Amino acid sequence: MSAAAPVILVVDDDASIRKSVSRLLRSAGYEVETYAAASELAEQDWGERPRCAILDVELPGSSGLELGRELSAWVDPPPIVYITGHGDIPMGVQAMKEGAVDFLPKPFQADELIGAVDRALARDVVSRGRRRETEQARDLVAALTPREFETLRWVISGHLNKQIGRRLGITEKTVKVHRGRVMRKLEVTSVADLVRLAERAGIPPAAG
Amino acid sequence: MEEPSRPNRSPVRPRVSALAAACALLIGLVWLGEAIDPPHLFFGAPPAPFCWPAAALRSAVVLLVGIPAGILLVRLSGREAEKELAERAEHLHRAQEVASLGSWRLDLAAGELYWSDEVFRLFGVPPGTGLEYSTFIDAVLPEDREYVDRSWREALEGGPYDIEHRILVGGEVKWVRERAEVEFDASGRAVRGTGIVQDITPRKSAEEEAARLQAELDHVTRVATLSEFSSALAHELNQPLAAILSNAQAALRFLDVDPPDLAELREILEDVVRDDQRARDVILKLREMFRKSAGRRAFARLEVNPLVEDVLRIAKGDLAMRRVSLETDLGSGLPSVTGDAVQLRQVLLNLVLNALEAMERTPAPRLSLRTRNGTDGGGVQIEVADTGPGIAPGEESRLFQPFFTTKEHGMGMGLAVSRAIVEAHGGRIGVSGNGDVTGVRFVITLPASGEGP
Repeated sequence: MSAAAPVILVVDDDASIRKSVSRLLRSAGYEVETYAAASELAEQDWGERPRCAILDVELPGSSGLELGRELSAWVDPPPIVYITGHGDIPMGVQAMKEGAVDFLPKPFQADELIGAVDRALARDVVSRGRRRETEQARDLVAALTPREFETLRWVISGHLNKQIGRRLGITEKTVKVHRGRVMRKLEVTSVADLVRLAERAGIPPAAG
Repeated sequence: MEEPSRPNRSPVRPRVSALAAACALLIGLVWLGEAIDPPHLFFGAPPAPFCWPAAALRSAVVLLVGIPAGILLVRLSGREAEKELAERAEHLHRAQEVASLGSWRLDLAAGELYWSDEVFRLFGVPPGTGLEYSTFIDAVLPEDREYVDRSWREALEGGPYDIEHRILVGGEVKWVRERAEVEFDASGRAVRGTGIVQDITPRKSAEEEAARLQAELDHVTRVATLSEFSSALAHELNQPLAAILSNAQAALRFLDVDPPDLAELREILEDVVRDDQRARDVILKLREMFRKSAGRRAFARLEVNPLVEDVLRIAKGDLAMRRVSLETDLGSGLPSVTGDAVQLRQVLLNLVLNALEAMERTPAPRLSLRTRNGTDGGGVQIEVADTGPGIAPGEESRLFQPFFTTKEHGMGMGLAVSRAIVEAHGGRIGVSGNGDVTGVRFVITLPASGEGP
């Protein structure tokens, strides 16, 4: 498997289900890791590989929904598909409210499961891409000096160099120098890109 | 009523003692008349010598005063005795009132009936009304009259008389307990009956309330057990079914690969066989469970009518709550059957509760229960019929199949289990429309003891 091949985490206490579900997913080209209990599954670094989790709702010890909540607290939370032997509608509604991709009653059709897994993986790719962009933006911003950072905040709030100079107590010329360094360090060429990047990194514009 | 155990003084005794006291007083006064010498006592005159005329005069005065005083005393003590008698009567009356217990006496030779005040009150008859046996039997609830009358006739033949029955007082039903003893003369003829009648309505309502609660509890338990059971069963069957489906669909996908991985396919098919076996085991276990519940646990000789009455008692609360009218026709002289009372009650209760549920939206719900001799080949038939919407033609045979249900939340097990039980008793259960009216009629036929298995 390539480094980017998706990995599916399957948690079910029933050996027959673990085996058959993992077989079905392998037939669709996925790599599968199976776990018999919630306690066996710990966060680890799967690298760049897209992933999702298939959780049985009726797990001994902690319920599937509880395990799902634990997974959501991971740094890289995998999207979740629930499978259930006798789950009811309220339970399904609760699971979907908590962000599950799908809630499948057993026995389910291969297409239903594979479809749900595909959607979960697509969601993972999107959310992971978003997370990666945020991380990159933050890394870039971290390289700025405090004065450059202040300049950035005034620029993205739409102030002119002259106004920024007055606010920071420096000459307009010095502001221009800071501004040029900010653009270079953040690898952007337009103010529009600068604003987008600042937003991604979660930097609030200066007020006033 | 029994005599109070504390010994009472006889009312005659104070009269005697008052008479004795009066005599003693009289003698004392005569003696005093002799001894008292007023001039000597009050004026310091020297004591007068005994003088016959004076003594005679004094005695006469003493007699004149003493005799009326004595008479008065006797009178007074007589009144005391009367008062005590009245008090005792009042005490008895109050005790009867407190215990809601009246006493009666029937002189069979003279045909005279005596009631205590409390009996008048209990039966709602104005005190002083002329009494006859019919005064009593007319107050008894019509349904209970035959039983009460029969019990009394048996008591006259020497049987015990200790019965509980209902009476109708001003449109209100009361429960009473009656006990009596009949006295017989030397020739063995009944001459007198003495008895008590007690109001036991509060106790009876408490018992009915308890029975109602028990029935409700039984119902809830029955429903809860079924729904838990169905959920567990669904899970037990869904696991292997889900595994089989996933395995089979994975195998189809593996077949598309060229060349197919035969080792993988073999493994998959082995797993399918194993999971199928697992599903079969679940069903076998279920069957085993039914067999056990329908097995011959405690077979004994049974009368059918008391079983029906038991079930009606349990369902009484539901009947009243749903305002279902009841029609019973329990045949007499039916042969006894051999079976497990608990199981047969369960079957009947299941049919009755099904009927009640079926009539939830029926404008004039009526439940009828009949017992009679079996039409062919002897035995007993029990019929449970309702006036609900009935069943679609052709559904009769499916009704008894497991998992067939017409109820929203039913599991379709009740009738399947019922049939298993009836058949384990060597009987049959059938269903048909309810004659001219809408609804369903279930008929259970059980073999008479000795005929059956």
